[in-house]
Amino acid sequence: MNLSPKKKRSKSTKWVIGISLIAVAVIAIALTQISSNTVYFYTPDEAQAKAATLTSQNIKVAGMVVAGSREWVAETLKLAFTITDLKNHDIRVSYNGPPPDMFKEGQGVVVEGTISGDGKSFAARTLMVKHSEEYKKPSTDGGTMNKELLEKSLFKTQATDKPSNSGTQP
Amino acid sequence: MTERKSKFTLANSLTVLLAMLLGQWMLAWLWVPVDEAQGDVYRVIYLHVPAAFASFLSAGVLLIGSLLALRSKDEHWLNLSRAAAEVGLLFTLLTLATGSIWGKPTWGVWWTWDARLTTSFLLALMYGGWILLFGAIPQGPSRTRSCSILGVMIAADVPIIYKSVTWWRTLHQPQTILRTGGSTMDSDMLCVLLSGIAIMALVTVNMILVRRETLRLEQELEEKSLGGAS
Repeated sequence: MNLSPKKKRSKSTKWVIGISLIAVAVIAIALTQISSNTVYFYTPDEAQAKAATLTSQNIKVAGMVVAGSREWVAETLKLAFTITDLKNHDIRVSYNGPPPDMFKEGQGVVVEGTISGDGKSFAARTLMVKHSEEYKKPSTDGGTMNKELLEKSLFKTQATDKPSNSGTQP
Repeated sequence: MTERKSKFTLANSLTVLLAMLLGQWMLAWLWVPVDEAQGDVYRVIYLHVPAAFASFLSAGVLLIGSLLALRSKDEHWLNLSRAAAEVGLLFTLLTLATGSIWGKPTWGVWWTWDARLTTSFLLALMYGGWILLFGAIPQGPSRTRSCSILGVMIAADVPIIYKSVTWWRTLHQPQTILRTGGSTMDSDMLCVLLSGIAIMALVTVNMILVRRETLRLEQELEEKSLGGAS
């Protein structure tokens, strides 16, 4: 009777160690696999660099909608606009259908569809608006969206490489 | 006598908590200002985020129940785990539903397979899987072990869900409250949101304890009726 609880304890300790090892392994595999093999969306520069191979695939690209680039033909429900990574990688996007309510110039979007071989134009089947984590009361001086937050979350790989000097790098 | 009294207060406090939650929703719908970019639809956040935290908290309770069960090999901890898994499933489904309702008018889609949504979906699947696993294995040490191992794995998904928006590119926006550089939310909004999270956390703990108590009573009655038959 004296031995069994001790035995039990050592066995359960093994279980705990075993489970935590499995958990760590699962997390590690999930982290490395997901981050290296699949991306939810490409940034415009990545998409353009790989356009020749990506053109046959269904991909997602994210970018900021360039101010003044929006063209909307209500009769044919044709929408066109340009997305940019703010580093001179621009892609012209065409979409059939009305844009979501939150869609506007200067907003972040994720488009799903196919890119042309030269990487200059994109035919979108799905248009999604990405909003930032900012919530604020309506201001009297009109839109004062903190664009930096949105840019950071869209292009976070670049943002971590070069923090807070968006203007100096080409 | 004392047991009956404690049960009484547990049920009573749930009523009080639900009344508080109702009060918080009133604030969220009527008092808090609209969001500049999103308008009224952003108010879903006052249910969506507390529900998400409640599903995380349930996973925490499930982890505690699972570790205690593995350590002591005492089956009665499964009652706590089971209660946590059931409440966790409820709140995960609530999170997914409210998120979807929020996503359609703001993102333009009901659903997308980004890292945050996928890992949250996985949490719902695993909670459901826990309940199925519990029902599939006959009572005994192997059920205690298997369910507890799954419980630990479910809890491991929570930090992944939480960090998914910073580790990967997602459509879902990053954290608002706990982030470097302070919160990106207006202070009135933040106040109502934080109180909502706090109240929902209390509701969650309360629901889990009430459910654990009913499961314990159920077991006791079953044992008594079996004992009487033999």
